[in-house]
Amino acid sequence: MTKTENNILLFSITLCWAASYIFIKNLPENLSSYAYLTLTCGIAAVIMSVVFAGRLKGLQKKTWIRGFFLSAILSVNLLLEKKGISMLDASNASFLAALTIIIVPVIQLFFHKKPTANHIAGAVIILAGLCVSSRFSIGGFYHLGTIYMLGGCVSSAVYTIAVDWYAKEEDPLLICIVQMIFTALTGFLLWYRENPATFSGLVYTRELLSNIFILAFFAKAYAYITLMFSQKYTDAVSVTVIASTEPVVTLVLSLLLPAAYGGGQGFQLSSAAGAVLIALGAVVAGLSFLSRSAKGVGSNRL
Amino acid sequence: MKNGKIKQFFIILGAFLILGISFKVMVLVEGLTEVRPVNAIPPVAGLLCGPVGAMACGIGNLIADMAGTFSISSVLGFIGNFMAAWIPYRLWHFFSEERPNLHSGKNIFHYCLICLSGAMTVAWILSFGLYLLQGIWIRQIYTYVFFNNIGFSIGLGMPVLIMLTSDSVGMKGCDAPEKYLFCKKKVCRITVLSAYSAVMCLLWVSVIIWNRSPAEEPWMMAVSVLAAAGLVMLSV
Repeated sequence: MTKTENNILLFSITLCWAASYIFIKNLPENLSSYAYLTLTCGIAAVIMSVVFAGRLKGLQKKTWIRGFFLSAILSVNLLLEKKGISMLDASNASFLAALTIIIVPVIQLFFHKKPTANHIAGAVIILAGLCVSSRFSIGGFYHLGTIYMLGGCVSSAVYTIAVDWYAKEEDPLLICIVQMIFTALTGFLLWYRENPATFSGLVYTRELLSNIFILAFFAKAYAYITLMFSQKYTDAVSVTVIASTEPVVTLVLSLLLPAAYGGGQGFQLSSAAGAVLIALGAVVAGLSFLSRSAKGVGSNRL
Repeated sequence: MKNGKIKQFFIILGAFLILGISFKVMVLVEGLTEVRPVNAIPPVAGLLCGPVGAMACGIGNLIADMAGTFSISSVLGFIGNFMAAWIPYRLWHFFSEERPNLHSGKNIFHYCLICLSGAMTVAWILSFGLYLLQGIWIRQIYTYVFFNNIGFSIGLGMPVLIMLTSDSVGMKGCDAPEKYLFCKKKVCRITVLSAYSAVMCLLWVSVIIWNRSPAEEPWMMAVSVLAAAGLVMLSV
């Protein structure tokens, strides 16, 4: 797989995650986030198991353990972010969630992996873009919610790095299926604790089923398989850089989509300026003109 | 059909049905079209499975229509979705010796052009076909079908094709068609494809930019006859 191909894959995940808010918005307000997690991950696990049934024979104990570990990090990330978002303003929460772009290279320093000059410059520009577009208030950070969000951010960074390790050693499909199974189980246990009626307590409408199915297919099955695949061929920082372009995609979608589907939100100068900075940062991080060494020049193949 | 082909047919059909039916809730033109990520499938199916992929897309769309939008226009839907897979299959091998893959910038560009051509063709088949069959001109049909096709075939179809042709999955693109009835020589291919593209671009500009309709501009139907002839020459 070439670097261009890999970047296209990563960008498509960002597109999926940015677009998923349209469908999440269409879900009933009283649908618990644990129910959402159980249903989407459960359906995604079933779809993947059916489509790739032939590969399941290759499942080993090691894959189960690694898949479980990934699902545990993902669940911790979800719980911390859920708690943080409920305590903070949306703009402050989204800014803190985006700090993964700084935390991933910092964690990697502990493993003697230094980011390139371009990565650092790109991350700084992206961060500036996030500051401009999210319009957070400094005072809003003096809150316990900030700790939860930062915890969520660290767990998200650990997840990205762990996937980076495992995807290079494991079959991306298998580890993704196992991760989905365990995440669905975790979601179900939490859902059961919150409301023992679980599945029987839901009102099944065509809209609910359609939206859940779409989210399971794109935001879970497709996005996570693609993430595992692309991380097999790239590094954690590149993944985080491309993921940080989500506000750019969200801005474009809100301009393109009809109002009924979450679009038509108008054009704001600060959002556009932030999006331009984020895109510029992603481009800077993706190139190597600041790096002294000319590693990889002349070969696009990963 | 060999077992492998049957399996390919049912996998594509299944994917088409799941995506096609799920998105029936995001209606754009009542009874006629909706937001359709399923449009990512035809170019990939055409490039990887050839005629089998095209047939699965056509039939898949017909069955998906039965979940809410089945009408006489479903016949156009069948033709449109069949062509959305068939055109990429035919056009890829017009100018490339390689099996379909996106390993180089040139191939990515090639794929985007093919998707553009396919999107224009499907939008033309559905909107002009509806006008021909029922005398109804709905500009939004052309617009939505075009943007649905181009957006999803590039935004979603391209990464799916990359993944399926990667070293890890290792799917091989479809072999070149054994016969070209009309376009045997390269000169002929270039001429027919250039003329067809010019006609498609003219119709695209007329509908999207100038907001013209065949009801007020009869030349658009005359040009469509030329386009139909070109499409037949490219397709067989």
